[in-house]
Amino acid sequence: MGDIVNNNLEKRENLYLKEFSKGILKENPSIMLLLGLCPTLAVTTKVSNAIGMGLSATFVLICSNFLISLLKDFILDKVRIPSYIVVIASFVTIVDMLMNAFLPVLAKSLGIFIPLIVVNCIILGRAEAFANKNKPGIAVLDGLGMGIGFTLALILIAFIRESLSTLGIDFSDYSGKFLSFFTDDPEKPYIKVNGFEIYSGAKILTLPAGALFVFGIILAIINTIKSYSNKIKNKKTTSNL
Amino acid sequence: MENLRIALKLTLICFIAVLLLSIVNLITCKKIENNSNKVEEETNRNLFSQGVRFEKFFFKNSSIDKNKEYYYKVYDKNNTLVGYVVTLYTKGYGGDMKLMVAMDNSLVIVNAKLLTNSETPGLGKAAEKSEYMKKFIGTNTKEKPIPLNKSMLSQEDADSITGATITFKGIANGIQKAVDYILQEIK
Repeated sequence: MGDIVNNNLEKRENLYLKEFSKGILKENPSIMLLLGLCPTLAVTTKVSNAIGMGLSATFVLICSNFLISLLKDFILDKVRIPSYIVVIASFVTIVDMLMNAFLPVLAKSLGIFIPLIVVNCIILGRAEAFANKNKPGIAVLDGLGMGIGFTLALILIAFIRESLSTLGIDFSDYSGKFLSFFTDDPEKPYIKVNGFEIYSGAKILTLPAGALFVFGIILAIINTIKSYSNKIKNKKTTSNL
Repeated sequence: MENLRIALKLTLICFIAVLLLSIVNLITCKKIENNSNKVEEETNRNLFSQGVRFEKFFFKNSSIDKNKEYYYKVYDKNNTLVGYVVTLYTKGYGGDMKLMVAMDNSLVIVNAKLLTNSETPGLGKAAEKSEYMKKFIGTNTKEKPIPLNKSMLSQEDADSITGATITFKGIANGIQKAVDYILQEIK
């Protein structure tokens, strides 16, 4: 009897862990499912922007997933999309107001992309595909995992773009410092050896074209790894036969 | 009956959302106002380098919205009036834009700054930069009127506003409006 209970508990824990971790790598919304690309490409000019956008979206995702999963029997099927939008828009407006009040510099640099979280397809997608079919606890875990995955993907892209174009990471939006190994001034990204300039920041990476460039390379690497691991798997199954 | 139920449920959801939002607004609105005041103070100091004291006034003209449009009298360290800074709203490509215009005693434009706006990033948004306003500095004299049209700009300046003519016109009109307001006020 006790064994069965233990077994069930373990199964449940595994399920929770699976729902949480799938958003981080296996079903990462940005780099695996290619959802929410507009903010992904637009705000990743700076790591601080990426963190702000990622955490805001995560907050909205967790709250909306929780509420929608809680209200799934109350919300009528016919009008579910408008109901979801109202719920999501409320949380986004809350984030917007809080950010304007407590992090005005970040709010200014994220600008229109905060209100646009309302129509971010990751959030609506999770509401429609997951939250309205599952219990609140699991829905929150799913939201947390997806949000963290989204944030990590944004930080990865932003890190590449910012570090290659300004040779450092600027945290002044959070009243931090400009961190860099090569230069103290983000406006002057040069590496000098014996007074000779060997690298000046690649400004193109902060432009929209640079976003597509970096994103494309990341996707290429991921697809290579994917096809390689698939090949190994296929080999294993054929040798087993 | 079914439709009524749908309508009632939607209303309920909206009602709760509004309730939640108004509570958050209650907490944050004071802070947001303080922030925007701080930005204005800073902008005042940037626009008028010799200004030491900035005193806020409302326009006598009652058709001007007191909460949105007002002006500062600027005094230097000898406590003499050196000019005015007007805060006002003007129409841009993406709706209303908040603009601060600094002028000296003879109403020659000293500087201007574009604050809150929803202009297109990369095009109209470029007007937030301080270089953008160079084409207005020193204008509003007999020889150099405020450039209200693209044709009144130098070739280089005209090229720089290509693709964002409506933003430019909005700012130019805003600056003209600021001058008119102050003229009305001190006459």
